[in-house]
Parts: sequence; C-alpha cells; structure tokens
Amino acid sequence: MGRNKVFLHLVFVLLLFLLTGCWDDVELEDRAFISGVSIDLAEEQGENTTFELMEQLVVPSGLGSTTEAGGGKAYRNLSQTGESLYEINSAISRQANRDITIDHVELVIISQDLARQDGLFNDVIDVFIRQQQMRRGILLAIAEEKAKDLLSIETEHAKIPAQYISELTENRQVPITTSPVRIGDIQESMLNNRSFVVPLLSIYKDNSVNYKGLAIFQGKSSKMVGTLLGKEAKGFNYVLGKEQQGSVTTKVEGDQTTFILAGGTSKIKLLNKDKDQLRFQVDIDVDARLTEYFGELDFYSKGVKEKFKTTLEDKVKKDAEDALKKLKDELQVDAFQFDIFLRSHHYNLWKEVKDDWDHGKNYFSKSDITVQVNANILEPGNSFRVKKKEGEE
Amino acid sequence: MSTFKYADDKIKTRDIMIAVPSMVIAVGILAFPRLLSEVTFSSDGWVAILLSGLVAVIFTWAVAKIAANFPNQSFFTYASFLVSKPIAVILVVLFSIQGITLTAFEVRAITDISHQYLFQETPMQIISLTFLLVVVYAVSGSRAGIFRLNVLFMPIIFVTTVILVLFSIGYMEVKNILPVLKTDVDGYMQGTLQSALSYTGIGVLFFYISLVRNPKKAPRMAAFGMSGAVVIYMLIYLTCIAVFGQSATEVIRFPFVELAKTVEIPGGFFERLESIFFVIWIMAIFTTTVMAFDATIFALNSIFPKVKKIKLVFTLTPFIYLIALFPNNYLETDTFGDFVSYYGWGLSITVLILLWIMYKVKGAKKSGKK
Repeated sequence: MGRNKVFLHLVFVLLLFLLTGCWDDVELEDRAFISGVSIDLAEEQGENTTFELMEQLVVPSGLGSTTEAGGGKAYRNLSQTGESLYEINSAISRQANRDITIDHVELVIISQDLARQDGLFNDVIDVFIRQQQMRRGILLAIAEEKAKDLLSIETEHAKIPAQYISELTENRQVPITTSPVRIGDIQESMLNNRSFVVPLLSIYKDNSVNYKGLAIFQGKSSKMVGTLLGKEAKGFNYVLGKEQQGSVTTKVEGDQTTFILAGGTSKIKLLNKDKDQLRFQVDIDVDARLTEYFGELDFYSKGVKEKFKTTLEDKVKKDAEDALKKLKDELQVDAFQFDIFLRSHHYNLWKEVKDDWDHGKNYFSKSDITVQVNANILEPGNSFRVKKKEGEE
Repeated sequence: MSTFKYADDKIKTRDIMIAVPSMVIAVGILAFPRLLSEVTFSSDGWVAILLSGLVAVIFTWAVAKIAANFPNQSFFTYASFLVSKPIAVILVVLFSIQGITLTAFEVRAITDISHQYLFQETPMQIISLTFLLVVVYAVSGSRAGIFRLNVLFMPIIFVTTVILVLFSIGYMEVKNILPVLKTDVDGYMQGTLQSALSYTGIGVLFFYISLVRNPKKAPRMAAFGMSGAVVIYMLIYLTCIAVFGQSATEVIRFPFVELAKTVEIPGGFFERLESIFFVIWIMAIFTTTVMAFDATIFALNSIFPKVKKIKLVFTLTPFIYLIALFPNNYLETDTFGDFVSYYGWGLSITVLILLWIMYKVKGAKKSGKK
C-alpha cells in the first residue's frame, strides 16, 4: 500500500511535465508581429494578376520601453510577389527568422492601381475577412501611388509607420476625412452592394503622409471609381452629417473669414415616391465658431450676425452640392448610402429600386437631391478685433 | 482511493432554475445568430427567438410539472407506473442515447472551435480527449456537486455576456436594426424552428427533478430559468445584428465569437477580449456537457441499480470519445449537431405528450399516494 502511494505520487509529478507541453506554444521572443500590410500590383505581371505584398514587422528592441529609448529602427519591411496573398505570406516567412504572427495587423494599405482593377479588391479583402486570426477591426486605406512607399516613410511621433498611419486616419481635426474604415465595415457594404468610401492617402514629404481625401468605391463592382478631394470631401461629410469638424473659409463683404465647425447633423427626407425621379431633401445643421476674420464688422449687431450666418450657409451648401453633383451626376455612385435611408424608412420603395440603385438603371443618378443648410454661429471668439476701426478714437 | 461523500444528494428548486440555462446555453449560441439571420430579414429574428422561447418555456414547465407530480421518484419509477415497465426501459435507453450523442457533440464542437481559434497545431484528438477527461472527472463526483458548479458558473457567464454586450454598444449602428418586421411568415416559421433547435437538452429535467426534495415550486423555477436563457439568446442575437448587420451576420461562421474579437475596450487598454471570453464560454459548454453525461449515467443507473456509477462512466467514455471523433469535417459536424437537436426535441416532446396522456388517464387517481 505504502509503495503504491509513492508510485502514484511519482506518476503525478511526471504528469506535470506533460501539462506544460503544448503543440501551439510559440514563445513571445520567437514571434514577429505584423503591424501593417501593403498590397500593390507587381511591376511584372504574369498570366494571372501578380501582387506585391509587403509586411511591416515590429522590431521590439527598436521600440524601447517607457524608461529607456530604443535604438535603431523599430520595424522591418519584408516583401514578396506572387499570385496568392497567402502564398506570398508563406514566402515572406522564409525570409524572417521569427514566426510571423498576423493577429495584430493594424492597417492594410492598398494601392489605387489595384483598387481600380475589376474584381481584385474583393479578393484582397476576402483574405483578411476569412483568416481566423485576423480581426474585423483592421483599418483600411488606399494609397494614391505605391502602397509600399507609405510603409517606408521616416516617422517621427510614432516609431512604426503603420502605427503612425492608423493614428492619422483616426485624427479628426480635418473635415475631409471619414471615420476610420474597418475591414468588417467593408464586408458589410460589399455584401449589400452598397457603395462606400475609404481614406485616400499620399506621401507628402519623406516624413509625413497626407490624408488626401476619400476614395470612392462602387458597391456592385467593388472597385474604386473615383476620388473626392478637398472641398468635395467636406461637402460629402456635410451631407452625411458626420465628421463635421474643421474649418471653413469664406468671404464676408470681401474680407476673409474662417469658421471652425463644432459639429452638426444632417437629415434626409424623401419628398415623393416616384422611383424614376425620386426627390430627396437634405437638411444640414452646422454649429460654428468664428476663428479668423480680417474685416471690421460688429458681431453684436443682429444684422451682421445674420450676414455671417448666411455666408456660412451658402458656403456649406455649395460644397455639399458640389459633392452631390460629383457623386450623383459624374460618378453615379451612391457613396452617401441613401439606400440605407430608403431601406430603413421606405422599405417597399427600397425593394423596387434596390437591384438598380446605383448601377444598372441607376435610380440614384436619376433622383433629384436638394440641400438646405441651417448654420448656427455659437460664439464670436475671445476678443473681437486686434485693431481699432478707422475713424474711431 | 476513496471518494468524498457529500451529506446528501438533494438539491433545491433554485438549483433547478440555474441548471436549466446552464444546460440550454451551449455551443449552439455561438452560431445561432448566423442561422437565424439566414432566414429572417434585418433584425426580425427577435420575433422568432421570442416565439420559440415561449414554446420552450411552456415545454420546460410541462416537463418539470409531470416530474414534480411524482416527488422523489426517479424517471424510471414514474414512467414504469405510467406506461408500463418495458416501455419505460426503452424510453430510458432512448434518453441515454440522446445524452451520449449530445455529450459527444458538445465535445466535438468545443474541439472544432478551440482548434479553429486557439490551437491550430494541437491535434483534435488531444483537445477532445483533454476536455472529455475533465468532464469525466466532474461526472465521477457527487451529483449535487454539479449543481453547485452551475450555481458558481452561471453568474460569471451571465455577467461576461452582459459586459460584452455593453462594450459592443459603441459598435452598434441603427442602420443595421432598421427596418423592422419585414420578414414574411415563412421566414418567421423557419427562424422559430431554427432557434428552437438551440434550446435542446431540457429532457434532463425528466430525471433531475427527482433530486429536488420538495419539487412543488420546481416547474415555475424551471420555466423561470428557461426565460433567462431566452433573454441571453435575445441579447446576443440583437447585439450581433446591431454590430454586423444582417447580411454580414449571415456569412460569419461564429458571429458571437467574432463579436468578442471585434469589440475593444476603449482607450486601447485591453484589446483581446476574446481571450477572457473563450474561458468563460468553455465553462458554459462544460456545464452542458457534464449535465448531459451525468443525466445519462443517472438514467442508466435507474435501470441497472446494482452497477456502480463509476463503472458506467468508464464504460461510456470511450464510446463518447469515438462518436465525437466520428465526423470528418465541419459539414458533418453540423449534420451531427442537427441530428442531436432534432432527436432531442423529438424524443422529449413525444415522451412529454405520452406521459401527460397516461397521467391524465390513470395517474390522477392513483398518484394520490405521494
């Protein structure tokens, strides 16, 4: 009995060694985390489309810790060309000394050339949606030129270019941006044949990336069909009622005036039910603060305030109408997603038009959209002028 | 080695209330938002959940009621009384088959999911063996202990689910919910059937009510527990739809897992919510598996009272392991799961109707001896 007990205990102790064994065990030190991926069309094309994939791996020693600055570069870029993205990934792992881990991909950049090709964009997205380790929260951006160049810029605030760019897409100081676009959102839009926008980035200088505007994708063909830059992108956001932040510069009685938008909303109304000529009305509300004014008018008089208000309203209205014109008449793509409004509030009508909304018969481009703006100037700023009016003592 | 004996093997009605959701909430919940959104439009699946939930609650109540009419009698005893001994033996065997297949299915499903998301390299056989061994360990012990384990686990599962839903609020979009009530009747019917399949396993109540010392309140408590499960299903379904939208939910294999992967706690403080989530969810599946297995042992023990419980456990385990490894791929696993669900519902409903009819015919008079 006593001997048996000793034997049993011995077995238990030995079993403990088995507990630590694990097939999937990869030490943290042996992993290389990908933080960003860029996908381009390769320069030399084979029979099938050849991609050039670049993975940005984090080099932890370059990152340093909170108390100690890291030395050297914090990232390493590896790239390969091939026909299947997953195969390229395997090819890249042959170059890496560590186990490449895709769980932490933060950002995917796709070049404009690739996005404009027929049927390639959804193939690329498919990989990121299907892979179990990938997350639906991966951010997506379109590069105006080569996507891989964006991952090679010399960053300063952030140690890793991919991190810098993903933070950039989340920075909302400028009104030409859209909220960060996640891969999951793209899948939802594409499943519904809904058109959508993706941030469009370009290289500004060696050390900075410029948030240039928005890339427009048509849902049906899921390829990029155009861009909205500068004012058009602002107008786009006015219509959406989202991201209404940033500045608007206009002229009041010939003097340059800049407003800062403090937010706002928009509301879509459908005025008739004739599907061949739908009439929408978009009511835009914006709140603004005056931030820069070169003229000499007195804000505390009601008439003057009214004047500023109408000027701002006209300006916002013009931008919104320009964006509508470009998307509706020129590109004929409903990136505003008016169809969501129809689906949610006019379901029966939506069922009739959904198969030919912004493609085929294109009811969207046949529709008529009017814009009404209501601006509210919240405050005139801390001090009214820096110089006295002429003639005043 | 000796096994520790608890003072008694009796449980309270409260334990039944907690056991019902612990039994019902299993792997089905991970995939069911997908199955439901395949047949319903927009966010309309909630109607189906409500309808099937109502059916399930009534059903649970009826099962608990018939069992509670024979306090402290095992299923075999009162079934023998109602439908004669040979038929009772057949019923017990059929229930045991359900218990075995359900246990095997749960083991298989948890293996598939852990293999997909957690251990790509570890062989499936090892994962299922490990899980099954833990289940065997739980089943070998005291029966009341399992109920205490439920009482311990259920609040954790519930709270984690609620936390997950709360953190998802930031990702919800109104456009995914609207429009409402646009599904046709056929869609609702299919959806109701589909979500009813997720509520399998109520059959164990036929057996477990006999453990309750004073089962008068048991039917009400069981129905109440079932409503809790319906609420959790509803919460999870609506959250998945609000976050992903119907069209994406339809194509995500395990929407609930994906939800945990999508949600990030704001501020970049904690991104990988799914790691905690998996631990909790395996607990939920564990309780189901343990109860399915234990009910089988309980049932078989009633027709073979002389055989020691531990022997039954060790005899059945290899079979369960083999059945669990039987499906070759995910499609076969799904078919297996459908079979288990249909079989479970079919058997439970047939037995329930049969017992109630017999109870009305002859039981009402004689059962006065209770």
